[in-house]
Amino acid sequence: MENMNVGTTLTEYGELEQNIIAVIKKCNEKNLKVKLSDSYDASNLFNVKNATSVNHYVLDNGLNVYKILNGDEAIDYMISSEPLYTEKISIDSNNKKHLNKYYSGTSCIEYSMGGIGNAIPIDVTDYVMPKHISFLGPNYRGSGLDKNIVSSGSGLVTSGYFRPYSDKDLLKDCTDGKLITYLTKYVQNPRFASEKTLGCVKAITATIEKVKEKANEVEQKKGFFRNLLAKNKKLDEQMEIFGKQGQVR
Amino acid sequence: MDTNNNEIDDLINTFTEQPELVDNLTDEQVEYLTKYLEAKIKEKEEFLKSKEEA
Repeated sequence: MENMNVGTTLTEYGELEQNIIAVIKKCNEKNLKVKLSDSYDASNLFNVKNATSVNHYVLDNGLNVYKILNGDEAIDYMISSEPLYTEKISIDSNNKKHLNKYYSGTSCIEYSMGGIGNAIPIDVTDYVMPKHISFLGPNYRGSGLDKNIVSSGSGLVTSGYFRPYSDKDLLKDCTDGKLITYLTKYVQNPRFASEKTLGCVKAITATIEKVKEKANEVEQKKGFFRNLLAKNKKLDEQMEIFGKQGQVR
Repeated sequence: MDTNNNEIDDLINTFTEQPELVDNLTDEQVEYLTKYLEAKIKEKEEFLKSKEEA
Protein backbone atom coordinates (compact mmCIF):
# COMPACT_ATOMS: atom_id res chain seq x y z
CA MET A 1 0.00 0.00 0.00
CA GLU A 2 1.24 3.40 -0.85
CA ASN A 3 1.04 6.12 1.70
CA MET A 4 -0.37 9.33 0.31
CA ASN A 5 -1.59 12.67 1.41
CA VAL A 6 -5.37 12.94 1.26
CA GLY A 7 -5.33 15.95 -1.04
CA THR A 8 -2.91 14.28 -3.38
CA THR A 9 -4.98 11.15 -3.43
CA LEU A 10 -8.10 13.05 -4.29
CA THR A 11 -6.41 14.82 -7.13
CA GLU A 12 -4.62 11.83 -8.53
CA TYR A 13 -7.39 9.34 -8.35
CA GLY A 14 -10.42 11.56 -8.57
CA GLU A 15 -12.55 8.87 -6.99
CA LEU A 16 -13.32 10.33 -3.62
CA GLU A 17 -15.91 13.03 -3.50
CA GLN A 18 -16.04 15.87 -1.08
CA ASN A 19 -18.20 13.95 1.31
CA ILE A 20 -15.51 11.45 2.07
CA ILE A 21 -13.25 14.31 2.99
CA ALA A 22 -15.88 15.20 5.51
CA VAL A 23 -15.86 11.65 6.77
CA ILE A 24 -12.13 11.65 7.09
CA LYS A 25 -12.25 14.93 8.93
CA LYS A 26 -14.81 13.51 11.25
CA CYS A 27 -12.65 10.50 11.91
CA ASN A 28 -9.64 12.60 12.65
CA GLU A 29 -9.70 16.34 12.62
CA LYS A 30 -6.00 16.52 11.92
CA ASN A 31 -4.34 16.32 8.58
CA LEU A 32 -4.64 12.69 7.61
CA LYS A 33 -2.88 10.45 5.24
CA VAL A 34 -4.58 7.54 3.60
CA LYS A 35 -3.40 4.30 2.18
CA LEU A 36 -5.04 3.14 -0.96
CA SER A 37 -5.34 -0.54 -1.54
CA ASP A 38 -6.56 -2.56 -4.47
CA SER A 39 -10.16 -2.75 -5.51
CA TYR A 40 -12.10 -5.79 -4.50
CA ASP A 41 -15.14 -7.47 -5.82
CA ALA A 42 -17.96 -6.08 -3.71
CA SER A 43 -20.90 -8.16 -4.78
CA ASN A 44 -19.95 -11.00 -2.49
CA LEU A 45 -18.13 -8.98 0.07
CA PHE A 46 -20.89 -6.59 1.00
CA ASN A 47 -23.90 -8.15 -0.61
CA VAL A 48 -24.58 -4.81 -2.16
CA LYS A 49 -26.65 -5.38 -5.22
CA ASN A 50 -24.78 -4.81 -8.43
CA ALA A 51 -21.75 -3.43 -6.66
CA THR A 52 -18.84 -4.16 -8.88
CA SER A 53 -15.95 -3.28 -6.69
CA VAL A 54 -14.87 -1.49 -3.60
CA ASN A 55 -11.91 0.72 -2.93
CA HIS A 56 -10.27 0.38 0.42
CA TYR A 57 -8.62 3.27 2.23
CA VAL A 58 -6.88 3.03 5.57
CA LEU A 59 -6.76 6.21 7.59
CA ASP A 60 -3.91 7.09 9.89
CA ASN A 61 -6.09 6.46 12.88
CA GLY A 62 -6.60 2.89 11.75
CA LEU A 63 -10.11 3.26 10.43
CA ASN A 64 -10.81 1.49 7.19
CA VAL A 65 -12.87 3.36 4.64
CA TYR A 66 -14.49 1.40 1.84
CA LYS A 67 -15.94 3.14 -1.14
CA ILE A 68 -18.48 0.94 -2.86
CA LEU A 69 -18.69 1.40 -6.56
CA ASN A 70 -21.81 1.06 -8.65
CA GLY A 71 -23.91 -0.49 -5.92
CA ASP A 72 -27.66 -0.16 -6.05
CA GLU A 73 -28.00 0.16 -2.31
CA ALA A 74 -28.04 3.46 -0.51
CA ILE A 75 -24.48 3.08 0.64
CA ASP A 76 -21.48 4.75 -0.81
CA TYR A 77 -18.97 4.28 1.92
CA MET A 78 -18.30 1.97 4.78
CA ILE A 79 -16.03 2.63 7.70
CA SER A 80 -14.65 -0.17 9.79
CA SER A 81 -12.18 -0.21 12.62
CA GLU A 82 -10.75 -3.41 11.22
CA PRO A 83 -10.24 -4.50 7.65
CA LEU A 84 -13.23 -6.29 6.25
CA TYR A 85 -12.91 -9.68 4.73
CA THR A 86 -11.61 -9.03 1.29
CA GLU A 87 -11.59 -12.41 -0.39
CA LYS A 88 -14.18 -13.51 -2.82
CA ILE A 89 -16.29 -15.96 -0.90
CA SER A 90 -19.53 -17.70 -1.48
CA ILE A 91 -21.59 -18.88 1.43
CA ASP A 92 -24.96 -20.51 1.51
CA SER A 93 -26.91 -18.14 3.69
CA ASN A 94 -28.82 -21.06 5.22
CA ASN A 95 -25.70 -22.94 6.12
CA LYS A 96 -24.88 -21.32 9.40
CA LYS A 97 -22.59 -24.15 10.43
CA HIS A 98 -20.41 -23.39 7.55
CA LEU A 99 -20.68 -19.70 8.21
CA ASN A 100 -19.79 -20.05 11.86
CA LYS A 101 -16.87 -22.19 10.94
CA TYR A 102 -15.78 -19.70 8.39
CA TYR A 103 -16.11 -16.80 10.76
CA SER A 104 -15.44 -18.60 13.99
CA GLY A 105 -14.72 -16.15 16.74
CA THR A 106 -15.47 -13.13 14.66
CA SER A 107 -18.61 -11.48 13.49
CA CYS A 108 -21.03 -14.34 13.75
CA ILE A 109 -20.80 -14.51 17.49
CA GLU A 110 -21.41 -10.85 17.91
CA TYR A 111 -24.13 -10.75 15.34
CA SER A 112 -25.96 -13.58 16.97
CA MET A 113 -25.82 -11.56 20.16
CA GLY A 114 -26.94 -8.41 18.49
CA GLY A 115 -25.73 -5.04 19.62
CA ILE A 116 -23.44 -2.38 18.42
CA GLY A 117 -21.32 -4.83 16.51
CA ASN A 118 -23.82 -4.57 13.74
CA ALA A 119 -23.61 -2.03 11.05
CA ILE A 120 -25.14 1.30 11.93
CA PRO A 121 -26.11 3.25 8.86
CA ILE A 122 -25.72 6.91 9.61
CA ASP A 123 -25.87 9.78 7.27
CA VAL A 124 -22.72 11.84 7.63
CA THR A 125 -22.70 13.31 4.21
CA ASP A 126 -23.08 16.87 5.41
CA TYR A 127 -26.42 16.78 3.69
CA VAL A 128 -24.84 17.29 0.34
CA MET A 129 -25.51 13.86 -1.03
CA PRO A 130 -28.52 11.78 -0.05
CA LYS A 131 -26.40 8.75 0.54
CA HIS A 132 -25.53 6.84 3.62
CA ILE A 133 -22.38 5.73 5.28
CA SER A 134 -22.05 2.84 7.62
CA PHE A 135 -19.91 2.70 10.68
CA LEU A 136 -19.01 -0.87 11.29
CA GLY A 137 -17.87 -2.43 14.51
CA PRO A 138 -14.48 -4.09 14.82
CA ASN A 139 -16.07 -7.49 14.69
CA TYR A 140 -17.79 -6.74 11.43
CA ARG A 141 -16.65 -9.14 8.80
CA GLY A 142 -18.92 -9.32 5.87
CA SER A 143 -22.14 -9.55 7.79
CA GLY A 144 -24.05 -8.72 4.66
CA LEU A 145 -23.30 -12.18 3.48
CA ASP A 146 -26.05 -13.62 5.55
CA LYS A 147 -29.39 -11.92 5.69
CA ASN A 148 -30.47 -13.84 8.74
CA ILE A 149 -27.48 -12.83 10.73
CA VAL A 150 -27.73 -9.19 9.87
CA SER A 151 -31.43 -8.99 10.51
CA SER A 152 -31.00 -10.64 13.89
CA GLY A 153 -28.88 -7.78 15.05
CA SER A 154 -29.56 -4.40 16.52
CA GLY A 155 -32.62 -3.70 14.47
CA LEU A 156 -30.92 -0.82 12.76
CA VAL A 157 -30.47 -2.92 9.70
CA THR A 158 -33.04 -5.07 8.04
CA SER A 159 -33.34 -7.81 5.50
CA GLY A 160 -29.66 -8.20 4.99
CA TYR A 161 -29.38 -4.84 3.37
CA PHE A 162 -28.83 -1.52 4.99
CA ARG A 163 -32.03 0.36 5.07
CA PRO A 164 -31.76 4.11 4.72
CA TYR A 165 -31.29 5.48 8.19
CA SER A 166 -32.72 8.94 8.12
CA ASP A 167 -31.82 11.85 10.33
CA LYS A 168 -35.25 11.56 11.83
CA ASP A 169 -34.60 7.93 12.75
CA LEU A 170 -31.23 8.82 14.13
CA LEU A 171 -32.63 11.60 16.25
CA LYS A 172 -35.34 9.34 17.52
CA ASP A 173 -32.83 6.70 18.50
CA CYS A 174 -30.75 9.36 20.19
CA THR A 175 -33.77 10.69 22.02
CA ASP A 176 -34.74 7.23 23.10
CA GLY A 177 -31.19 6.63 24.21
CA LYS A 178 -31.12 3.60 21.98
CA LEU A 179 -28.02 4.44 20.03
CA ILE A 180 -26.19 5.91 22.99
CA THR A 181 -26.93 2.75 24.94
CA TYR A 182 -25.44 0.68 22.18
CA LEU A 183 -22.39 2.87 22.03
CA THR A 184 -21.91 2.85 25.78
CA LYS A 185 -22.21 -0.90 26.05
CA TYR A 186 -19.87 -1.30 23.19
CA VAL A 187 -17.16 0.89 24.61
CA GLN A 188 -17.50 -0.71 28.01
CA ASN A 189 -16.99 -4.16 26.60
CA PRO A 190 -13.28 -4.91 27.08
CA ARG A 191 -13.40 -7.19 24.13
CA PHE A 192 -14.01 -4.27 21.83
CA ALA A 193 -12.71 -1.32 23.82
CA SER A 194 -9.73 -0.34 21.78
CA GLU A 195 -8.53 2.95 20.42
CA LYS A 196 -9.90 1.97 17.07
CA THR A 197 -13.27 1.29 18.58
CA LEU A 198 -13.22 4.58 20.37
CA GLY A 199 -12.35 6.22 17.08
CA CYS A 200 -15.47 4.72 15.56
CA VAL A 201 -17.58 5.76 18.49
CA LYS A 202 -16.20 9.28 18.38
CA ALA A 203 -17.04 9.49 14.72
CA ILE A 204 -20.55 8.29 15.38
CA THR A 205 -21.13 10.62 18.30
CA ALA A 206 -19.74 13.50 16.25
CA THR A 207 -22.27 12.57 13.61
CA ILE A 208 -25.04 12.55 16.14
CA GLU A 209 -24.06 16.02 17.29
CA LYS A 210 -24.04 17.20 13.73
CA VAL A 211 -27.48 15.80 13.13
CA LYS A 212 -28.72 17.51 16.26
CA GLU A 213 -27.22 20.78 15.13
CA LYS A 214 -28.86 20.32 11.78
CA ALA A 215 -32.19 19.63 13.44
CA ASN A 216 -31.90 22.82 15.48
CA GLU A 217 -31.05 24.72 12.35
CA VAL A 218 -34.12 23.34 10.60
CA GLU A 219 -36.27 24.27 13.57
CA GLN A 220 -34.97 27.82 13.42
CA LYS A 221 -35.80 27.98 9.73
CA LYS A 222 -39.31 26.75 10.44
CA GLY A 223 -39.68 29.40 13.13
CA PHE A 224 -38.56 32.06 10.71
CA PHE A 225 -41.01 30.78 8.12
CA ARG A 226 -43.86 30.92 10.63
CA ASN A 227 -42.97 34.53 11.40
CA LEU A 228 -43.07 35.27 7.69
CA LEU A 229 -46.50 33.68 7.45
CA ALA A 230 -47.74 35.96 10.23
CA LYS A 231 -46.18 39.00 8.57
CA ASN A 232 -47.72 38.04 5.25
CA LYS A 233 -51.12 37.73 6.86
CA LYS A 234 -50.85 41.24 8.29
CA LEU A 235 -49.85 42.60 4.92
CA ASP A 236 -52.85 40.90 3.35
CA GLU A 237 -55.09 42.63 5.87
CA GLN A 238 -53.53 45.98 5.06
CA MET A 239 -53.93 45.37 1.37
CA GLU A 240 -57.62 44.63 1.74
CA ILE A 241 -58.02 48.33 2.42
CA PHE A 242 -56.85 48.96 -1.11
CA GLY A 243 -59.20 46.39 -2.54
CA LYS A 244 -56.54 43.80 -3.07
CA GLN A 245 -57.36 40.23 -2.55
CA GLY A 246 -56.62 39.30 1.01
CA GLN A 247 -54.40 36.45 0.03
CA VAL A 248 -50.84 35.88 -0.79
CA ARG A 249 -51.15 36.74 -4.47
CA MET B 1 -40.74 21.38 -5.26
CA ASP B 2 -42.43 21.11 -8.59
CA THR B 3 -45.56 23.18 -8.24
CA ASN B 4 -46.92 26.27 -9.89
CA ASN B 5 -47.46 29.56 -8.13
CA ASN B 6 -51.15 29.05 -7.50
CA GLU B 7 -50.43 25.80 -5.76
CA ILE B 8 -47.73 27.41 -3.72
CA ASP B 9 -50.07 30.24 -2.77
CA ASP B 10 -52.61 27.69 -1.66
CA LEU B 11 -49.93 26.02 0.39
CA ILE B 12 -48.96 29.32 1.97
CA ASN B 13 -52.56 29.99 2.87
CA THR B 14 -52.89 26.54 4.36
CA PHE B 15 -49.79 27.04 6.48
CA THR B 16 -51.05 30.46 7.54
CA GLU B 17 -54.23 28.91 8.80
CA GLN B 18 -52.49 25.88 10.28
CA PRO B 19 -48.91 26.84 11.23
CA GLU B 20 -48.45 23.51 13.00
CA LEU B 21 -48.30 21.86 9.58
CA VAL B 22 -44.96 23.56 9.02
CA ASP B 23 -43.48 20.84 11.23
CA ASN B 24 -44.10 18.34 8.48
CA LEU B 25 -42.01 20.21 5.94
CA THR B 26 -38.54 19.15 5.01
CA ASP B 27 -35.61 21.49 5.22
CA GLU B 28 -35.65 21.98 1.47
CA GLN B 29 -39.36 22.73 1.39
CA VAL B 30 -39.05 25.30 4.16
CA GLU B 31 -36.22 27.01 2.35
CA TYR B 32 -38.15 27.06 -0.91
CA LEU B 33 -41.31 28.43 0.65
CA THR B 34 -39.38 30.96 2.70
CA LYS B 35 -37.75 32.37 -0.40
CA TYR B 36 -41.07 32.45 -2.20
CA LEU B 37 -42.81 34.16 0.68
CA GLU B 38 -40.04 36.67 1.17
CA ALA B 39 -40.40 37.72 -2.46
CA LYS B 40 -44.16 38.03 -2.08
CA ILE B 41 -43.82 40.06 1.09
CA LYS B 42 -41.39 42.38 -0.61
CA GLU B 43 -43.87 42.94 -3.44
CA LYS B 44 -46.65 43.70 -1.01
CA GLU B 45 -44.53 46.05 1.04
CA GLU B 46 -43.56 47.95 -2.08
CA PHE B 47 -47.19 48.12 -3.16
CA LEU B 48 -48.27 49.46 0.21
CA LYS B 49 -45.43 51.94 0.26
CA SER B 50 -46.41 53.26 -3.17
CA LYS B 51 -50.00 53.67 -2.04
CA GLU B 52 -48.92 55.55 1.06
CA GLU B 53 -46.75 57.85 -0.98
CA ALA B 54 -49.57 58.47 -3.41
